[in-house]
Amino acid sequence: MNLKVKVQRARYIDESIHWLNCEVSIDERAMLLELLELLQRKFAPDLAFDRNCRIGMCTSCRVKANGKVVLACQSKINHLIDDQNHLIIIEPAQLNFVVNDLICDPEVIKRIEKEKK
Amino acid sequence: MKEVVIIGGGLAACASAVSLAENGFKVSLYCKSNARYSHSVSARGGMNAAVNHDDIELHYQDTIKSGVGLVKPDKVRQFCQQAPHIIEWLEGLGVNFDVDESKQPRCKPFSGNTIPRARYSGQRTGLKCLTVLIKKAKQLGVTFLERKMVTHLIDSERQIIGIGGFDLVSGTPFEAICDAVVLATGGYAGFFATTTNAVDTTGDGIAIAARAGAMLRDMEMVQFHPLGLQGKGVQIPEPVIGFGGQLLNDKMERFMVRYEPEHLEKVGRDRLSQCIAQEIRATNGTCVWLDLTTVADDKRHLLKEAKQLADVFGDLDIAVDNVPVTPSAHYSMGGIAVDGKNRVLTAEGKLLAGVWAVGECACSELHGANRLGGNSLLEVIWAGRQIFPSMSEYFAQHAGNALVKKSTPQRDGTFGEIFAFESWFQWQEEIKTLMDEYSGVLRHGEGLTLALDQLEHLSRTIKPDSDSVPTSAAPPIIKLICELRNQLLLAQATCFSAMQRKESRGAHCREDFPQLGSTPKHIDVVRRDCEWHLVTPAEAVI
Repeated sequence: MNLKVKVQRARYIDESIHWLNCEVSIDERAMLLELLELLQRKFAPDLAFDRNCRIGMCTSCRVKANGKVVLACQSKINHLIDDQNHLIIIEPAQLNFVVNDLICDPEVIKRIEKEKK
Repeated sequence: MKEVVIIGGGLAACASAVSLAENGFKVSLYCKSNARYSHSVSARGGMNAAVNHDDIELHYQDTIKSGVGLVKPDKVRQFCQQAPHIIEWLEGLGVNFDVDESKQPRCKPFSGNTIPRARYSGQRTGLKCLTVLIKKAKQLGVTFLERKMVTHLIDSERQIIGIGGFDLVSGTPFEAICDAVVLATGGYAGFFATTTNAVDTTGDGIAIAARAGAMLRDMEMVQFHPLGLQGKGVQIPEPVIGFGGQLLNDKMERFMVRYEPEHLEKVGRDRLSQCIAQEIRATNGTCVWLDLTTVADDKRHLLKEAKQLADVFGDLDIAVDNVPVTPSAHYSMGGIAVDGKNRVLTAEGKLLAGVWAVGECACSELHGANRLGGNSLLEVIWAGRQIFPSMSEYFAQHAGNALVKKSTPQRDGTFGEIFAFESWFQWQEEIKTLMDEYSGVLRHGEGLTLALDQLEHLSRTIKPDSDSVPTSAAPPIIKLICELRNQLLLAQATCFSAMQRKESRGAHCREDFPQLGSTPKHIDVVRRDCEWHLVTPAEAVI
């Protein structure tokens, strides 16, 4: 299927936000994590997101997709989009704790803030 | 107060941190991601511990038998004796291991174990252990410095006195000076395309140690899980075989009848993986099929986890569908050569002063040529608990660090700029494909030679002995470059060691040398002048 994708990009150190907009061809049964990996390979090698176990245990790949917080490794793309609108908007799961793009880490943010003082 | 740096964030790292912090050491834990995301959480299976006093001897014998001659019997005995105490210690910290209605321990049947002895905590044994250990470490004042990629050890006067690397938030280099370093970064089986390992399992600590002069041992010994769900990077839990699951080939024949008429599928992980790999090749297939419809009604409730995994990752219903499985790289028995106290050794048989290695990154000689299912979770906790006595003994004889030589990693303005960052992803795929193709379950000298040639070709570009990264690289690219270098270095070490071991033993199956050698020997290698060298027994005085 052809899918329109928007990914929020931001870095804690400069606080600017912009969006990666692109269109990809992907199997609708693919997991959201596969989509993120595809985006990294094809459009933005420096796109930052966490993933590790890929089996729903570590929960590192938690992101917001079309408004819903999900584990990217456990969420099939066809469950996240509707039939009419093949668009997926991917944002960080915790907007207040963005380290880099989709990576959120409250403890790291706290540490950096502490180091600043 | 002695300052210790631990590299890694999983169970071995956190168990070590707790062991040291509760005995008055100042501990900082450096982790390239968040400790809670470590690969340890993927360990759903269980942790072996003797079910009664008599079973300690059986656990010992099972472990010795499984290791096919490459284990250290004294160490294994101590390991098995301590296992029930490790369970008690974890229970004391808050891990609830499953019990039956009469409060007796529930145990899982892993292959190679004479009786079921793997204690578990629901389907989340690793995760539950890690959660309590992180909590305990923080209570004890351990500093967690997460999202820091360590690239090298800093030495001074033949002593390791610190670490250096890159901060993965800002991308800037950092260094930290300390009295001792503990490497607890996990294994290297992630450099196969077909693997059950987490993405971050790139053998970083092993590569770091090798660059600093540490000897690596038995790197060719990689365990393949026989029941990897094809193309998904997750394994179906092995106990399903014990419950009555059967393996079929493309013609729906129960092929294990031909390979193991007596034991059928109930053989060790090494043997079962090798039979499956041979059958896949003989039938020109890509997988074999796990049939769980044969499991008796009174045991079907035990298939909950397999049912869930097959459903989520394969869109399959195990009540009616066969599940496609293929052997998948699962665990690395080889790693950093350590002595009986987990101190890191060099090629000369001396200590790499100031460095310890624990968990899967170390070749602890507990698992030998084939790890017994249920022993890895036990090892990481047990070895972590051993760190304090070992380090305390060391510091009784060594004053600590007096001289400090700074050695900051470089952001090189020119290196790597000529490559598009996309190339690093392609090279990673190339390494993984090579390892699957030529250094997988079934190996042959010709294939290994080909792999070594191609890896050498890649190393001219990737420069695995370097720790500099391009100036323009953002943190995700820095991480990728560092990990890829580590993976390449260890892929070379694995193929080189596999070439040297001219026999078939445990997980290492050489089709051109199918026999088991008469005397068990370690394959020790060392990195010198950007090449791997075999360490002769005369050199290694262990």
